[in-house]
Amino acid sequence: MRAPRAIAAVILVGLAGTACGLFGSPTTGVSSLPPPTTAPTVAPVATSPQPCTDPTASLRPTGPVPRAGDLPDGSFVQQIYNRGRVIAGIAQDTLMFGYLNPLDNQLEGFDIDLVRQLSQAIFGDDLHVEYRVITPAQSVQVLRDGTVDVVVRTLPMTCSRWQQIAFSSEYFEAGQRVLVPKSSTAQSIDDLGKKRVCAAAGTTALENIASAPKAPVPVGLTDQTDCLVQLELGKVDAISTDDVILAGLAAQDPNVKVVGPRFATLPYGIGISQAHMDFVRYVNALLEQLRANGTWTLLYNRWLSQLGPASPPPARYRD
Amino acid sequence: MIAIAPPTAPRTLRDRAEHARRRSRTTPGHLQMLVYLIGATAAALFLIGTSTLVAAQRSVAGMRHETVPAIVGAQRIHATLADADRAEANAFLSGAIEAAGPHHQYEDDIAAAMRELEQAAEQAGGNAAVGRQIQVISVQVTQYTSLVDIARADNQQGFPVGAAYLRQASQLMHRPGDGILANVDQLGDLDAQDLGAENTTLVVTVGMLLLYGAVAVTVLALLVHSQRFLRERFRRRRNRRLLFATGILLLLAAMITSEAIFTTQTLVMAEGQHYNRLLNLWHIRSLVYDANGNESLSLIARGNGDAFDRTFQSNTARLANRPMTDDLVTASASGDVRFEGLLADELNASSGSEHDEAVAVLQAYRRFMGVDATVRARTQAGDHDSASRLALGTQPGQLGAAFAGLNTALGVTIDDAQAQFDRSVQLAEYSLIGFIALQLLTVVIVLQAYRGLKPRIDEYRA
Repeated sequence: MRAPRAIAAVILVGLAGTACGLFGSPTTGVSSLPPPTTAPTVAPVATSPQPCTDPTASLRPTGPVPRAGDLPDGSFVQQIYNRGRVIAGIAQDTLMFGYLNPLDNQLEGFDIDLVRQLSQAIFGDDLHVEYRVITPAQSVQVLRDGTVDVVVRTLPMTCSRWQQIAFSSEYFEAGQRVLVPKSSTAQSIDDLGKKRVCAAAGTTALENIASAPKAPVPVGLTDQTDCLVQLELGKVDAISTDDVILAGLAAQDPNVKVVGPRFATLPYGIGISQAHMDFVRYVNALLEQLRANGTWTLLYNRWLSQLGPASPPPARYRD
Repeated sequence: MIAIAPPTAPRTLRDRAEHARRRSRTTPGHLQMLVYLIGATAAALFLIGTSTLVAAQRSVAGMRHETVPAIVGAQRIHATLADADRAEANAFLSGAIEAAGPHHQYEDDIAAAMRELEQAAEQAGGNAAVGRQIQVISVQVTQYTSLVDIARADNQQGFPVGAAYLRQASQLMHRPGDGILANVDQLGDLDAQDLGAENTTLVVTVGMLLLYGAVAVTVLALLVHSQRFLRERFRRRRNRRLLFATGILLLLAAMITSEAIFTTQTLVMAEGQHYNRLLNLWHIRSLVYDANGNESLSLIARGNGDAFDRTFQSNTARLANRPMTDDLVTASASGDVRFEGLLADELNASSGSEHDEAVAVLQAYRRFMGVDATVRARTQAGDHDSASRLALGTQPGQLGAAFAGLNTALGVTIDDAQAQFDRSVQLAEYSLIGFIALQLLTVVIVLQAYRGLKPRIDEYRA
């Protein structure tokens, strides 16, 4: 079991190395991306949430991203600037999106680079970030109590969450699939009736398992990697969560496989407090810029190219 | 022709008693009876005294060589395993290219714990419950090391699942109720039951000493009666041999009484003070190990270590219920202990050089908590890398060095308390062995009484 893992590790390290070749070190590399160029036009207007019919629809930006350090007075982004750092809730166990690389003790991944882009936009460099590692179950609460400014940790946009927090526009579309041991005959979630199926507690994925027609037994654990440990120890029969997360888990264990079609769509958005709707518009302006100037594609290729070619999901707005 | 005597009717018990009663009314018969009675009661005295002292000596020897070492051994296993978990958390915190020191410490701790478990299994002998418990712990430790091995392998390949395996391992170690450390504590409880049985034996021994005293009084009464009888019947002022036997009896009784008091005091001191201090100190050491391990696990969790932080707070609150300050340390050094907890218990229970050692432990704890506060402040400010470096650092002013200082201070105090306990119990044991030998004086009492009375009996035979 160790040898294939070692090969997987070499592949992953190789990928990271290639990425570093493109971008330099994780800390400095992202600064080579195109900087924001336009004048401040984001109005600090608080907008009350509207009835949710499309959970991927966010608030339309009022213009391009303001220049770093030249932010609208009284806006939340100005407060962040005055504080000197943006506080981001992230994951450290989700390979490719947000994880602590033990080889260099640095946080890495697509989500981490998005946070660095946010720092780049606000401060002019990507160093003004305080990372707060959170579990999926904490994502909403840390926004509501103001512990963090943003949550960037593979957080699916749902109408129920829109009742408590706000989201940016969609920045990645994942789907829910199933991970089983290679020896398993299960081909999809429909083959797992009465079986123990694991997902992180407090996630949309766990709710989807609970509502699956064949009634698998949902098992909620703190983190996604806890599910992989329990699968390897034979204490659960399968893991079902976001396919991109499953791909990361499969990369860490050659004895498992991802099976079945997507049976639920999980659109990722950046979580933001409803008290800062102006900041939602600011972040959406930034995402528009990242889509338009090719940064999104660069980040995708850096971290997620093994998933196949992709383009950024189009932004949808409710106003 | 041989005349055959007519058969005599068998003598009944009543006949025999009547015969003895009639005979005891005669002077030689009475003297003969006194010889028998003194011999019988002295033999009873010898048997009661010897068996009581042997039982006490065995209990004390069992306490010294088996029970207390087993209980302290369980505490040592607890601390060693807690240290293994702490050391591995520190190794993990240092990254995939882990620092060599912490992982070597982990390996040494696991090896030491397994050795201790083997010794405990040998000492358990036929105690099935202890044997089963040791087996459960051994299997769990093997599971634990497997989880750590997987965690390290994943970590070294850059896989984040390694951290989840480490959490799983640590949970197996610390899980309340059926975790490894909980099972080690239950092993200690089983050994403590043996100590309870030994204490019960010692309580029974004290009861037996009352019986010993009653028999001794009977022998004394017989000797005094014999002396008076001889004075009245034979007009002799005193019988020197009876007087000598009486003196030896009084001496023996006095020595046994003083021995009982001395042994009781020594054991009360050993159990009530040194033994309790010893357990308390091992408990402190385990909590310090756990606290340091939880701090590292919290740092590994990078801002999501609330559960580890709560355990850290809980551990340190049991050591001292107030934040440690220089003022508290200074006041404690002069005997004014203004906080509660296990460290306060140690300060209150110690005196002289022990108290100096307890103050040294408190000072080291103060330094440890001081650096801990800095680590937490940096974590709070989001500076995890700097916090981790400070936590792992072994230079003066860094947490690794502060922990090592505290561990060393605790080690010195534990060694001292262990030595004091051993000295006390050893003294009681050797003293008991000496007094078992003194029980041979009852033979002298019987011989002297016999030789004192026999010439008078012979006068009637002549």
